[in-house]
Amino acid sequence: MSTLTLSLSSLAAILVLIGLRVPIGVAMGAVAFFGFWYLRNFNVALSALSDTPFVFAANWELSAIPMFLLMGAIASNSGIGTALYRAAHAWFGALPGGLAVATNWACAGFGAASGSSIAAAATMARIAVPEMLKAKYDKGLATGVVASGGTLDALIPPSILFVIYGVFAEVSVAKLLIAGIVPGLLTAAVYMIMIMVRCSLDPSLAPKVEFPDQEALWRERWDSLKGIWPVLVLIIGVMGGLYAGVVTPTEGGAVGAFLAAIIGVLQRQLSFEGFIDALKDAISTTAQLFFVGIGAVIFTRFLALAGTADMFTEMIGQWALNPLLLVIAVSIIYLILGCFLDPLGMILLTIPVFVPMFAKLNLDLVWFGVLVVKYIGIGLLTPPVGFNIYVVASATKNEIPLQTIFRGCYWFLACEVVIMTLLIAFPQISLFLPNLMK
Amino acid sequence: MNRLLAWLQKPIDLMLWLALLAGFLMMTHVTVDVACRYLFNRPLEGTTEIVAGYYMVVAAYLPWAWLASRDRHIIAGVFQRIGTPRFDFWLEIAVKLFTAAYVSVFTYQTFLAAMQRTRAGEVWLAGTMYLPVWPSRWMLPIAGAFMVIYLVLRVLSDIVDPRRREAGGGPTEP
Repeated sequence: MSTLTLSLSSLAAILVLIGLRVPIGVAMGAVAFFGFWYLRNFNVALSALSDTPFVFAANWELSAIPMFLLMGAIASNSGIGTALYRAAHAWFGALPGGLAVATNWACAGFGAASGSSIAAAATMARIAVPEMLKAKYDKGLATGVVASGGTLDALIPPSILFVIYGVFAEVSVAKLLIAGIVPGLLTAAVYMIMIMVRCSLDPSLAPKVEFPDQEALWRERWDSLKGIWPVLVLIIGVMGGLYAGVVTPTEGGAVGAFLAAIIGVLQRQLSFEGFIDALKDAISTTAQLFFVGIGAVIFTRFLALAGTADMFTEMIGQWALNPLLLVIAVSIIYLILGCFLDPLGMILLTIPVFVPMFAKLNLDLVWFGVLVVKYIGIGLLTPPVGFNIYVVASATKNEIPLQTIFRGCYWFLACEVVIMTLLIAFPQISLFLPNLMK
Repeated sequence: MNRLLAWLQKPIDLMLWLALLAGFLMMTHVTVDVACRYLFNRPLEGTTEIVAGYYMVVAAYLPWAWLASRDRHIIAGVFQRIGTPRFDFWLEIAVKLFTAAYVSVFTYQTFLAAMQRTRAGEVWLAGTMYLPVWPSRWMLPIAGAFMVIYLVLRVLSDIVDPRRREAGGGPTEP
């Protein structure tokens, strides 16, 4: 069997198994196992599972994952979502589409405390969607902004996807985390402009919320900051520490989680049960990730043995003169995969194939990481399998039809075309901050 | 069969709590290390190795059986079943057995590795001390074995118990 046939049939086998609802980690690991058996022999296949799982987990860099998850879960259980929405509502509520704009920025703020898009979409859907519907907002807009705003979470540090990408692609995790900041803020800004323009042109989408008493409004604005400033200071501290190289991602996450717990207790927002729930959430998600991760590591080894990356690099040899073509081709593949795969499956399945190609062409892997995480965010919104859409539907008790939520996301996906064009055309948007780091 | 599953749930829950403890210790240990480094200029020795060699391994593996008992291993859950309920039921059984077979290979191989490292008395150099990491090696076969036992019992229970069969064999724990 040629390398091309072997590589493509292994990818196809994984997709078929995933389609049969085999756990993604098992699908990748089992296909890799049979691949080793085919290429070498049964004993080599067995030995792939011998030392690798321990070495993979006993890893200091990956320990950022449980710590980031814990920091987000503690902040979430301390009511940070509600406090952020209250503040964003007070500061942005008077703009056209004000509640949607507020939700958008509350999602960005939530993203700075948490590392998972799905958690952000679920939390903000419960808080913001009922408020927007009460104000007679268009259902598509109300749910679309939550589903789309949730994707900001993967870009704005801390971000689990960047940690996973960094470890697998052998790129500095700290640089990746810092690289996500500007694209994340850019995304939120473009979303905000789109919401304001749409709501100005068609006020029926979002009836204006009146604030007749300006004095009371300003009082509420300052009051609302009281609930969030400690967490904001904490977030800026963690990001600053990462940027300055004072703390590693794991240390930033651990100290962030510890201080978030102290703040939650002092503000009387975090109970003992809330803390245990946060731990359970963070650790069970970590174990889920490692179950898939081991399958992915073994699959990566199999692809390396099969020579897949070299073959693809040779195949695209003539494109190398124009990396833009490669980026566009990879973009199309990500958009297609995003329609069917979950974020983790998508990142772990593609990194072993694409990263060596980018590395051989001397393209910046931090920049590519930002693009990958953006595409994964877009994949969370595209039908038929937009995970954030399902999360929002379930968080709003399935009272809003899926089609309405998908329809609401189309405008945000249109914004993504603009954002992706900017990120691809101007790599400096992603690389400016990390290049300033030591 | 259900009584066996209920009994099995106890060690499965215990393993989850051990993993939660590891998560808590990881947070606290790293925070204390950072505080000692910047406040007293004296970092704790071996933090990196202890986090990687102990806490991470416990947190990443011990909850596997608990995840299985709640059907929470990541699947592409949005691929809707298109067959008849009977076909779907048997497909689900096949998927569970396939998963159990994969995890069995994992368990056996990590067991052999753990035996070998235990005999060799595997240690890591952490600062100026030697950290014995061979006990951590045992977390993997233990986690894998409980997951396999759970999956096999669950398959048997789903096949034997007509009520669970009619319900499509959902998780044994909510």
